[in-house]
Amino acid sequence: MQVLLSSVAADASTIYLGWGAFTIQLGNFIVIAVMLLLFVLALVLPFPAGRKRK
Amino acid sequence: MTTVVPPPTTPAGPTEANAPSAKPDEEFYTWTGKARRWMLKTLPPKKLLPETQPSYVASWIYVFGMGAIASLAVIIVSGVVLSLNGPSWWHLSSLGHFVNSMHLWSVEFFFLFMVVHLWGKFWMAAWRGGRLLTWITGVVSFAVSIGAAFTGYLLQTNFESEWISFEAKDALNAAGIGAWFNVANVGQMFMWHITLLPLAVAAIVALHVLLVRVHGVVSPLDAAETDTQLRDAAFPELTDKADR
Repeated sequence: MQVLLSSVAADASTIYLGWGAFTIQLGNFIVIAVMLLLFVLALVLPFPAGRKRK
Repeated sequence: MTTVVPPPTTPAGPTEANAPSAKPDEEFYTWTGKARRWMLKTLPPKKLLPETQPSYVASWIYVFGMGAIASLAVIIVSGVVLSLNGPSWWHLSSLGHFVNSMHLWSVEFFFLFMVVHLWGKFWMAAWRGGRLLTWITGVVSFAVSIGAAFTGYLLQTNFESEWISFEAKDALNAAGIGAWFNVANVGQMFMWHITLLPLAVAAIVALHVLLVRVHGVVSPLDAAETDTQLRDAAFPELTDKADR
């Protein structure tokens, strides 16, 4: 029963960030920040040289 | 079923009869023959499964489309495992909880990769060169994926999904379709999520990838028109390279 309860346990309270009328969950904010970072990195990081290049 | 009509040519030798592709002047009388000729003309095997890729594809911005497809594969596999055991499994079993989390996080990665793929394709104007349908199927797969993810959100079978469904109910009623697309009808949402929408996503993604194969990867914005890669990619059958 204890195991069952802990698997349905109360989550830690969700962290919200907010500026004025705009609010966003911290987790979602991190995901979006990671997406932007990956996009920029994809444009600037060098791609490893392959064996055969045309 | 139409009767089998023998070809009008004189009986051919073994090599001609076994030729896999149609001769240009051969006439087909059946829908299967016509379909084969159209398919081979539109997407010959060397274009469907190419051996090489243009050198400009060797860039990190091009990995996100495939990342989205890889995530979609994990979504489908984890979804199948969840279906095998039913909704109570992910509440009661730690393995079920884990597979449920895999399913959620593969969705998070799917959208992450798909949207970064969208950003890259937008800024490189990937609809150029007759690739409009590729762009449109991408947009449609984005929209359908949102629907699939939303119905999945409703199936968490917890208090959060109840909240989501009744907030959504207000929105869909306001749009006029709430009586039909009833988010409080768990059975309906379940069938949409595990049957209709996965089939729709898979079909549209497959069409999208086939269109990329048909038209080739779009060249960079500042590529010269005289670049031989572009000509060769457009007309591989005219090249004399053996590995194409």
